[in-house]
Amino acid sequence: MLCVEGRPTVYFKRVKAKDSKCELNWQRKLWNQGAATMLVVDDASEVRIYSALAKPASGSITAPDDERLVTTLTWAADALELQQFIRGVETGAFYRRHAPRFQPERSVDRYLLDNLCAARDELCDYSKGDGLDRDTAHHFLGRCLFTGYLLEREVIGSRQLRKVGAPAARNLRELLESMTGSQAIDTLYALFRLLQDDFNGSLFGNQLPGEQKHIRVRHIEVLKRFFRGDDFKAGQPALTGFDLYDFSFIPIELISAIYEQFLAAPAPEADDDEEASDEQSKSQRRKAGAYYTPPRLAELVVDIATEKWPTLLKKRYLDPACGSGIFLVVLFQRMAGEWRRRNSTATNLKRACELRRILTESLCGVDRDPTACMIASFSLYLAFLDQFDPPDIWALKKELEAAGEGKVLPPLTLVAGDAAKPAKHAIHAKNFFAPETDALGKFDLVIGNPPWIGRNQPGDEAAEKWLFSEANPFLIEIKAQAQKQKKKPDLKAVFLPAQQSAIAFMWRAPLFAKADGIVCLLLPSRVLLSNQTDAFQAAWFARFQVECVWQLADYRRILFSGAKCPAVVIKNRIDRPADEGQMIEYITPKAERLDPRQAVIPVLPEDRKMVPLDSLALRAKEDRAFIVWKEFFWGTGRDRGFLDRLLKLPPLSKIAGKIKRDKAGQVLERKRWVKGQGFQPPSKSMEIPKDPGWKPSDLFLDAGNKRPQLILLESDCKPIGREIGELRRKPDDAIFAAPMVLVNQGFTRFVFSPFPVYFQDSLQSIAGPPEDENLLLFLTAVLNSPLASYFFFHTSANLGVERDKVHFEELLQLPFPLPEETDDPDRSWAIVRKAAARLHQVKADIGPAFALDPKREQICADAKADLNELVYDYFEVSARERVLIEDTVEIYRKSITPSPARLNRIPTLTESKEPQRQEYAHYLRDALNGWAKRSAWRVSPKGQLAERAGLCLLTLTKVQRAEDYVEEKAAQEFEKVMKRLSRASAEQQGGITYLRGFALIEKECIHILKPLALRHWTKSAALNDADDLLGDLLFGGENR
Amino acid sequence: MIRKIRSQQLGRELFADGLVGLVLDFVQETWKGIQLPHGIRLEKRITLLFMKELNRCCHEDTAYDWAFFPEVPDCNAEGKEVSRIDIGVSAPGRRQPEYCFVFEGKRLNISRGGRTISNAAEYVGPAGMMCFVTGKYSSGQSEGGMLGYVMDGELNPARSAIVDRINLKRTELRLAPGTAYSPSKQMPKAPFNGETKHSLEKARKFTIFHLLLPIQRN
Repeated sequence: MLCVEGRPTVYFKRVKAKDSKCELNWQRKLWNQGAATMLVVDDASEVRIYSALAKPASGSITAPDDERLVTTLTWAADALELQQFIRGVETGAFYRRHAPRFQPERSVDRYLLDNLCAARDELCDYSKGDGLDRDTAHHFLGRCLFTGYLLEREVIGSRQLRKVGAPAARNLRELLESMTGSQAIDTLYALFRLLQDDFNGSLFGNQLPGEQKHIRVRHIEVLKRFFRGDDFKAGQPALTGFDLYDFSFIPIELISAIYEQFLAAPAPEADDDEEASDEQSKSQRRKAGAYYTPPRLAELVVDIATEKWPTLLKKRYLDPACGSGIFLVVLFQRMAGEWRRRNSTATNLKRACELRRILTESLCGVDRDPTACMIASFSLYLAFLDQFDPPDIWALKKELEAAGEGKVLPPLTLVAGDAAKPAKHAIHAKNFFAPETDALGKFDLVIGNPPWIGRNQPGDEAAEKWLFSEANPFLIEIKAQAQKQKKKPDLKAVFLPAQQSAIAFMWRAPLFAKADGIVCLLLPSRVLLSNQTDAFQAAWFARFQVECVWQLADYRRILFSGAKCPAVVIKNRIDRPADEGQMIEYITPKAERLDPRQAVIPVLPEDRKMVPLDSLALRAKEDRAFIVWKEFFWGTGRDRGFLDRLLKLPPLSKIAGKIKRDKAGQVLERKRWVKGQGFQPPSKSMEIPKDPGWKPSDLFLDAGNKRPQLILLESDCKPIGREIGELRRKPDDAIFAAPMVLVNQGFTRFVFSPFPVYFQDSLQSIAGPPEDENLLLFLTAVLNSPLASYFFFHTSANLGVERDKVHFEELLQLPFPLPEETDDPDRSWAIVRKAAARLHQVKADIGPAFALDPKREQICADAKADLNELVYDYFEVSARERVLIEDTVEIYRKSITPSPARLNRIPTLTESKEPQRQEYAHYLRDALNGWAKRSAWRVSPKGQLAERAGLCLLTLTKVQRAEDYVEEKAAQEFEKVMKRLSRASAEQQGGITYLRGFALIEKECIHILKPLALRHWTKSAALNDADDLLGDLLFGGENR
Repeated sequence: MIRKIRSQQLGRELFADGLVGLVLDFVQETWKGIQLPHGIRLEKRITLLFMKELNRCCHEDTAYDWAFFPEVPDCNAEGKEVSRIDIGVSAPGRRQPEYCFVFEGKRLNISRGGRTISNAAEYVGPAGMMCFVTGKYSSGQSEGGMLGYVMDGELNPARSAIVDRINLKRTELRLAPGTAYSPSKQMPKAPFNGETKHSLEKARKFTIFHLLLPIQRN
């Protein structure tokens, strides 16, 4: 088996001779397992590579486009391809070459979920007259899934089927197909009752008799189609006698995750409008703040939380918002695995008792939704049963009964008001913020994914009550601190900014951890990347010692397809930071095309950063804490240096701002330039309508008019007319006066207007006195420049993370020193005048002739190029800084937060071409040789391209005269170096990871092995690599 | 990118003089282009103007990627600020507070009341060279630099004055046995510049490079 990033990826099987039927059965099992991506079968002469993502089918492979078979290679003809196969898998190049064979939407989890939802919808179809209500359908399908699982894992079999008068069957499909619909109803419910009796009284609830009354033959037909593997969406029936699903291979965490997602998905609208249904689904989930945690993400959070722990046993775990219990399931599986390794000779009974003890005493989940608690119990039961061989379970049942230990499955859920003792229950159906004393300070780890409720969503009253009461010890601390400093704290801003419920969990969770305990939560990134959480961040990061923050923003669309807000994982201790000089490890993984299922989140070394706590405190004081997280997200060391320089320049806010007035309307403060939002048209909620005060002939610019660029023409506007007679909100007249710069809401268009014009609130303006016309024209040039784009990409809270939007307040942070504030005012004024002249030229060039012509676009594009040069000149942007800007704007910004479908097209992950690698090599060469100018030696670059493996090896050799980069195809020399690299890497980290790249410094040369993805071959990557290599060459890597 | 160093030979051959040689070269080259306005006499103002020019030149020259920072706070083991270093230098791609080298500046040959005072005592004293010796500055480093702004441009007497003073205070300065102010191989083209070697507490060796920079007025 080949594991990539610790995940099983390719299964290898050596066979004596080809057996197609057997190999396709293996392919079916791997598809059901949903873990690996490929099966490689080698019969010594031929290698057949099967896709584990292609939907299994019953027939043999005859057509060349059959998705199940990726490719067939022969040892004789394809030796090179086979040699590069594993490297190609590790870099993802193999998947890219065979993309049609690896479609994630064909994987078992997607297929099962889609059809489960479709089956549920058919069960609930009221138009048929016997539609079930949703709860009944959910419970019915849940019981059937569980029964199917028990049957296929042979936990139950012919003995139990006989007891309920059913014929022997290997799975639920066989059972259902062997009898009539009404027989099937009786048999299923008899089986449910038997299981209820044998395993646990609460698993199937007490609704069985009531539920059975509603089940009709039509429902059984739906069930049959589901278990047969029919494609409900395509209306395609599965072949008779073929079992698509194999529940003995589908992992239990997948079943429970699928089941919880299925519960969260709503029924379609009556008109079957898919888009509306999807929106409704998102909206329902948004309301509840419940985005269920994908298993791979739960695994990652558990990895982060328990990193470096020698053992998971004898510890207690709390999930304060357990949902389906995915974190508890992952923890239980790991604990059970560890217990079994440590107690390999323990008896069945001993193991059962210990694992039951882990279930009920080590794990604790809380959720206010009883259905979520039911799913959590269901998932934990499956995980528990998975620890035993089926025959052992029956033996265990007898042994437990004899020992008076109750049934196999212990009761897990405690519903508020139950008389049972809480200590014996893992799952508590209650509000995490309800008064609690028993569980405080009892847990080694508090872990979970709290609801992401924010503004405009119903809040949690219990949370608010706790946060702002004396029961919250941190409230008392903050009040005491404020009293000392004679300040009045804004408690809302500290404890519940923007109504973010996750922040309430961040304050409450540490109370449940032991003194040396850990809290590790999956949170909306808004807790850090928002302009409203400064007070919270200042207080929280000063109160708790944060070990690491994982920024998963770039995986937003991959991890949670419906979520708008990305996720962060924050791991903290409950004590205070050691000192202000403390650093927080900040991990910022970027989307990779490593695995078509996106099952792994690899972290490249350049995405591991250290954030100084004092920088965060400093920025929080300036109300810009988010800048720290944002700068470090995509920015490299060089970017941060450049941004530091830009942030030290006077910002636009120094000269531009709102007019502040007192209640009587008298101006209290007015900056040189006025900024403001356009007028709001009348609305129903309008209290006192405002008189617009304009003439019908005054000009109006429609925000939807996308034609204007750089400079507004009168012909772009129309008379405002008499249509709008009164306004809901009337801004200051000054914002409609020329000269002004108009800005759209998405902050994508910046246009100078030399004449007064009215506009609605989706546009904003910065207006100044006539004598500042040149400066406002220059501001237009700056706002349209890549420099501004670069600046906002790295410093605005949302751009590149959540919404492609810059807040107006953030826009005002744009560095904009006036000419007299620069070192050389005369030179700066000259640049401003040149830019103004160029913009006037644009107006003249467009004239009335091209106002509506496509040529207008070209005129503006040419002008932008000229203006960019002037902007670079004004800001004294160096050649190296230009590299940072260009790479950010052209490559990184276009690659952010990709959806799985877009992964193939984002610039960072496209394969670099030779000219790009050449440019990288020359930048690297020139940087190193520049620093080596006191020496007689230089380095000269040469590349070896291993296209099949998706790798390029760049070698910098010591020479007396540096040459230009040359690239050749990888050959024997490449393999020789690869062996040396593998040996060196094994010493360093146990093996080479092609994805991360590797550099080896030898006596006479430096070898740099990198994947072909463009991300690794940009000019800014070259500069950053040069910095690192310089450190290594100078200090042997010790001082850096 | 993960990196592994199999041999340090390449580093030694490409950067025989380490980072210091590059920094010293750059500082000397940059000073040549500086012409101070007549009114500028205070040490702090000279240092700030010089630092600004250093950063400007770095910015313009693609071969250099240093960043120079003023008034760098230096702290003791408990994290308390004990002094301020005049100029801190960050290596390429690194920002505050990762300084690879620090400079302290002092004026020499100051004109006062019609007389020229060498100011060597100040140069060598507690706010000058002694800062490095007492470990006040950057305890983690093994090299530092003194910038001697020679106010009248007369390098020979300035050098003689500080050499005499160093010899006088060699015990306090913990000069390494058998060493004195001597020409530095890091600055072979600047005969007045030199280096002193010091044996600090706990057998720590420290080298101070002395750059005598003649003031030129515009």
